[in-house]
Amino acid sequence: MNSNNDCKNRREAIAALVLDELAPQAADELREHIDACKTCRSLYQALMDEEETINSAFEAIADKSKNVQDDLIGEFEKGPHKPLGRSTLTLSTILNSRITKLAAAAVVVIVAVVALHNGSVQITTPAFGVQDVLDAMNEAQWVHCVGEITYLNVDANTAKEMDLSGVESWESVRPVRRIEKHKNGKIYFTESNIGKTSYYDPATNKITIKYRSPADPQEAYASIADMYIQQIAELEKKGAKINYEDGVYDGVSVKIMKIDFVLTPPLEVNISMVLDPATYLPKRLTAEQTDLKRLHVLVSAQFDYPKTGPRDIYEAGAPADAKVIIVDNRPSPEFLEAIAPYNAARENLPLRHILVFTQAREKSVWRTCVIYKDGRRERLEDRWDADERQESVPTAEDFEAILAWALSVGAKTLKIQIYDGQYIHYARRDLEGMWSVAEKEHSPEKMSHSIIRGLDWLGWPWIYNGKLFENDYSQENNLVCVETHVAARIKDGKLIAAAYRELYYLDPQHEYVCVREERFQRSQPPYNDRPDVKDLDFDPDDIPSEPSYVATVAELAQTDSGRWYPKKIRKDRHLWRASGNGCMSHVSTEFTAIYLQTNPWFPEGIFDPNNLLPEGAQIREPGAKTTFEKDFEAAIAIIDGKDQWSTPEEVALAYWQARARKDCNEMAVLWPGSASWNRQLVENETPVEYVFGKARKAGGKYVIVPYTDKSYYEKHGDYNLKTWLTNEKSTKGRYYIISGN
Amino acid sequence: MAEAGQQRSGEALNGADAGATLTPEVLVRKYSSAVLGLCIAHTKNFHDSEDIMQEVFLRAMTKLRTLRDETRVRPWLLKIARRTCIDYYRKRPTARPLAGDMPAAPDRLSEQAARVHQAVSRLPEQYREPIALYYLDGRNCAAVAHTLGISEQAVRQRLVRARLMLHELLSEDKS
Repeated sequence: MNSNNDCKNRREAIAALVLDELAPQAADELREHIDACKTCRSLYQALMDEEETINSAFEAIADKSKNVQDDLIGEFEKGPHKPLGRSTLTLSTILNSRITKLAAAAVVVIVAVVALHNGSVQITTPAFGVQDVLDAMNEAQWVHCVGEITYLNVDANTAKEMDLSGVESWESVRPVRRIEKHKNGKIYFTESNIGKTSYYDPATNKITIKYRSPADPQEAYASIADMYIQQIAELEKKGAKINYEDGVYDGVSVKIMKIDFVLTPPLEVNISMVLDPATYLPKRLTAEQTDLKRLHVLVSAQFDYPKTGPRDIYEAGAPADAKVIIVDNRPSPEFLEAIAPYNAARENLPLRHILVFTQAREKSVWRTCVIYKDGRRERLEDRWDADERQESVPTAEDFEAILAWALSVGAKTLKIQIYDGQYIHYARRDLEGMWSVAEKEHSPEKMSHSIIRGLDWLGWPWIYNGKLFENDYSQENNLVCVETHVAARIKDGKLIAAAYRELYYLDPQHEYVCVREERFQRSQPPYNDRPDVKDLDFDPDDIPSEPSYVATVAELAQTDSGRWYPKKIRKDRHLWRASGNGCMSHVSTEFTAIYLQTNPWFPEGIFDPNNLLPEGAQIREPGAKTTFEKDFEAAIAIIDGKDQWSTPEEVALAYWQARARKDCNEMAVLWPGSASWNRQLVENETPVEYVFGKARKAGGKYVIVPYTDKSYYEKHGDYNLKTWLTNEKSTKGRYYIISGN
Repeated sequence: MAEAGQQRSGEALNGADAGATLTPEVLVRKYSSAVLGLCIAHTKNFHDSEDIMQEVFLRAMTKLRTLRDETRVRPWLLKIARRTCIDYYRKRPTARPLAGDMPAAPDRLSEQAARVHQAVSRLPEQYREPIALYYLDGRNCAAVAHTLGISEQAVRQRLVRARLMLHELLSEDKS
């Protein structure tokens, strides 16, 4: 006697039988069942009948296509044909700005150079004539600056990275222009009011002109004075102390403005600006930045105020014969119109709420996160890797019960972060239960980079650009679909991250929640070996047809005030990974559940940084080593103590061979710091035979050894996995493993 | 460094070989079934599939020199085909006269074939390519897997699910 459930389970097997794709023994067994079961027999018969129809339909299609083939061949035989007219390729490349290429420490100095060439405006120093300075700045049409930057105590690689040894710049607000001409020949010409940046690279003799959305508020200053005020405000936010002194410059009495601040310790910045008491404008700036460990930066700049400046990149010095590449990433008016209600919904997210979210694979919760948010103030508690893998979310819908559960979940690591409206305070409990507390930071922007901020991440991601798109899914579900292209990232001529295409599906019926997100991106090498990728292009041919990542909102819910939000999200990620059975392509599925309470009551002191650490927290003594650090040092001592050491390829090979024979001691040396988790790693693992490619430089002191399992290599002829090595901590420059997949 | 140079020269030679041996006739005769299968998967009527298929081969001939490895011609062609399908519909006006529910015109094909094509076009995206390639290109799972760059097991699973969905759609259509 078969139950209906049994028959339902056999539907796929029956289809496989019809398609002749069932193993012989299973096919025989199923046929026996079909003979005895009316339901299954009926399905089998229907499928077989259809099979004839489908086959003849496709045969008809194939026959018809023969006419097309003949036409095509005839067309080719007529002679060489012109290439098809192709629409101008829209390149969504994002150029790396000059600033972003600098070390973070140097950025502040450069910002200071940009900002401070305009004079003094410290509102608390009326004696100096603030208004006079502002008036003088507004009179100035252009600011011309010649700056020198000197790096001391910097190794050759870092110095190369910071190739900005000197810069000549012009800046004006009307028209909005910023031009930078670097000693290495690179020229940047920015017209931010129209979202246009031109960049000349003498190495390739190319000018890349990039258009971005003019709606981007970056660098939108009303006047030079306004620009100055905003930049100074940024410095003051970082804790800059501004003082004025009388002094002498070129034999003339001047006012000297001093700005001192400590960036992330131990970076200290001291800026000294000479202000001309006759014109109230800055004449000269010196800045000194000291990182007590390794970096010392000196900046000096001279300013003058011409009536005009370069009108285009050619006037700034780019040669007329340079090849021009246009990168146009401006949103269309249709896009802006369509996205406006989405942005409005996004802007109006509830500013006061408690949000609990959980992330789980199957039923096992591996992360719980609680966010308290009241306007700008925020507290986040983030628990990773539950101790008990069977932790499951309470089924009760009572928010208080879920909140209490989320806060009590045992987890291997816990991060707590508070933004009190002014500073970020951060503490972390590590795998050994010890707490570390970071220095408070001033920049709230950092929160969005390091942690999940809540609703805007989970339901209303930031979509700043793109094009409207339609496909079956958007049409069938009445969704607004936005397509965006993100350019590849290239470093030192190598592709380090593949370009991707992303589709966002926004639901206008439910507060424009982004109910589905699809990312199309190649997930694995050998893309980083492609010699043909030279420019930062979005190459449509490089994008897979199937998404590598899909996040779908499986359930929507409403807050007490009736606002819609995503309640359950399913995320499917296509991964390549080394496993006991070789290199596996598989889909990793995660579920995020969101519980939201708007206008909640907050426990007293929840945003108070004094309450950052839980009661009884044990803080790791400064300088005390973690288990990882101890393992690491022991391994490095062994590596450096040997008479001879191997090449990176040999180290990678030796590691995987040791892993195959479950030799944890050897593994712990070749991959320093891995001693504590090696045993868990190899316990149930089936050994795999890998093949290895040649090591290649990966920037800095890192090398990559590509590898793959033998069968994959025999089939595809390339490597889809990487082992990362470095020699950074070895006194003898010996390579060891730091990462691998 | 020397090796990198040699590798590039090798690639260039492969490109030249591809251009020399892959004549238009060979390219069209050998791969049109697979290309058509893919076009069928992404269109709602045969007329569009035909147009796109022509464009794919025209594009392919102009880009043939960029093909570095002749053994990869099949996936290379299909990549062009996918892109051409996307471009084809993107360039069309987005406003459509409520066409979503309208059956496609038979387009010189038998009514039966049009009905099957219409049903295939209603399958979820990930199932369309495997099933169209399977029926148009020799009913061979391994070949479909090679063409799509996924495992045979994955192809088999998608085929089976797609076939059951097709059954539902065709039954629905019949009723």
